Amino acid sequence: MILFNCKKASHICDKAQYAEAKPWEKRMMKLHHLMCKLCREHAIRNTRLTHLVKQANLTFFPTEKKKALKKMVNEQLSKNP
Amino acid sequence: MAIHSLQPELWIDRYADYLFNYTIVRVNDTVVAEDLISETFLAGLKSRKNFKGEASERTWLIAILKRKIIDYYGKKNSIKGQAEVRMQFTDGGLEGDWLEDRVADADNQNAEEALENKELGLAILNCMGGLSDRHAAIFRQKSIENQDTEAICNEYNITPSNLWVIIHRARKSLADCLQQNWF
Repeated sequence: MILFNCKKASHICDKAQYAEAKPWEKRMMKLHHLMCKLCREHAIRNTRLTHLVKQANLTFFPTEKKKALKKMVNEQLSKNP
Repeated sequence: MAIHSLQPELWIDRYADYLFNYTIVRVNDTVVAEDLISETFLAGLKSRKNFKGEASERTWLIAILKRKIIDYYGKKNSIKGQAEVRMQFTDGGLEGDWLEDRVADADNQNAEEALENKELGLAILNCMGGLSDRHAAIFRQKSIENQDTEAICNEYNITPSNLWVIIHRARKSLADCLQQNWF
């Protein structure tokens, strides 16, 4: 395969967001982007999403406490359905 | 007319993370945030018969949480007031010698930025609510918790190809959802 199609370019773009694309894959993707405006725009949006997710610095309710809360909620529900 | 209904058995999975991020930005203390959310769910359970179905489940829970946050600050300020009185006694009533004057200002240089990031976090969590539970969990593990592809594939018994399809769909859905406000 000399050139990537859009589907392959999109897949490599996703992998690149997680630093899992190989250097040659990234080169082929960029070559595809030179020729395909849609994929180029998709890559910009995809990269922006990665940036936003990192920037948000999301925190999560601790899993163990979630389990305890679920137990409590279920107990309350069985007492007062 | 009631449009929405409550499903308390799904509250933790659906709203715990959202409420947690909502609370953290307002109280800036993980332990306090956890306690307030537990209290919110308990209060929600106790008063679920009062739910009229006019607002969404999440909006209703947030209204309860807001009340809890206000109560938390009420109690905190009442304790702070007692501390101020003690200061007056020990310092012989010097004018303007309040506890606040002695405490260095916190570094608020990036407070606005931090607040914006938290609002962004809520927007992302809101958009993740539009994904299926499985897709949202896989996206979270891969993109936010940075887990290995192999570990996630083993956990969900899927191939790497399946995982990348799920990730692609989740990313597309999130990008569409965030398009208007954040892109």
